[in-house]
Amino acid sequence: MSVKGIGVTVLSLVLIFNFSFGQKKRGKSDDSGPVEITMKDACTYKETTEKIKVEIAPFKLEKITPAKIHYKAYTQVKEIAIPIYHTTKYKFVINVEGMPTGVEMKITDKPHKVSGAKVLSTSKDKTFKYETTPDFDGSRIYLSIKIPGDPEYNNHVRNRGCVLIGAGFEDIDF
Amino acid sequence: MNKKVSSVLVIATCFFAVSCGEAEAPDANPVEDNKEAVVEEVEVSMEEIDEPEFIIPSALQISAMFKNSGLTYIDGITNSPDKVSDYNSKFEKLLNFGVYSGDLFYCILNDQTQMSIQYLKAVRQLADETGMAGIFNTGPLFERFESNIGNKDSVFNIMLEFQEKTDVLIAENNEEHTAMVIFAGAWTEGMYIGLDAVKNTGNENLKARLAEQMSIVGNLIKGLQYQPNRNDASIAYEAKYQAILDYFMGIDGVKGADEYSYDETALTDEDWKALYEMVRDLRNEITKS
Repeated sequence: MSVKGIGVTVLSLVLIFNFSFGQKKRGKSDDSGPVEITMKDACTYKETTEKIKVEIAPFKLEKITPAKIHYKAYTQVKEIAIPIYHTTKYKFVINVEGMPTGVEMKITDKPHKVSGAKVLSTSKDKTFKYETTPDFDGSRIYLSIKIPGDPEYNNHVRNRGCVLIGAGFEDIDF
Repeated sequence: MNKKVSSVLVIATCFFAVSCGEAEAPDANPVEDNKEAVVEEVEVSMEEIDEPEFIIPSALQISAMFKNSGLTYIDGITNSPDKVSDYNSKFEKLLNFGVYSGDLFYCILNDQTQMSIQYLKAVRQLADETGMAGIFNTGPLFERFESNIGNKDSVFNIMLEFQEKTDVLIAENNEEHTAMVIFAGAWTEGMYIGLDAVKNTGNENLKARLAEQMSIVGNLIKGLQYQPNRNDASIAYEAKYQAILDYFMGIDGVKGADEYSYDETALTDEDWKALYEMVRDLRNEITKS
């Protein structure tokens, strides 16, 4: 074996040793055990659905749609587009009792980030009601929900909740 | 020379192994970090889309709007409930769950009581076969439907309950993506029946409602693209919905005041015929007619 060959072999052994040592170090840190993440879901589908059914009256309930919310460490805005048809008048009942914190909501005629988006209504309450007006000529409304940052997020807790959106319409010929 | 080469390979392998090991193994809280990585990946992809989520309208409402616009019952136009066992993959079953839901609402709104029961049976079978048996298992929904078939208010409320149970079951099982497949089937069936009526009657009110429905197609395509198990068949369906949208949006003067408003008077008879044929072909492919 040449001198170069011996040198290369020694270097290889050193690297193999370092690699093994590195693995052991990581194994040692693994011994501390995995950190458990606690999942908390505050969503209440059934109870809230029943409340919406009562509050949508005298409009005819069309649909109740759950929107799931996953809290994060930072404040986020979730936006939901709701189609509107001009054949009828609509009433929306948006219930946030299934959210672990308060939220701010607004309804706009265009996506809230679009310049010129007109705010049609706002709410910080647990129940947000909105009826379309005869002069509204858009084909969608947009519900924006501002969800506060979750201080528990960095303590390995993942809070979840839901916003239930009830839609009713007025003049169905059935 | 060969020995030198093999020595260099050993070294290179060692470097590679060490580098990879360092990169993927954090010193603390490895499980926590892994979970965060998964969560962040989903969130980033949603933020990149930077579009609002979309609430799917109910097939019942669309059927009711068509009915209010003068759509009458056309005998034999709906998909035969006898074909319920012809659908094989889950995707096919979900699409036809939607088709049969659309047919169910169409029959209810047009007082076709016996057909309604047949369609509810078909929907129940497809619900069982697609993991949604819970819609019918949590209460005697089917039995109540049968016993109240002559009472419109009761039937309407039972149908609302059917929709509600479907939506909640989907949400509780994190199956939101399936809702869009079901809706795609219902939308296609509703449009097929409506366009067929326009072809035969020229009903102007119905034309306006059908044009209104085109505002949903873009969301429908995105919903199909969001499916976790996209395959050649589902991608081919996406392309067909896209072709319908492209044709519609390519009609001169069809775009209205805002992004989702359309002027149905811009459509010529030829345009209505072309749209009918595209939707009919898609619907026949879905239903294997």
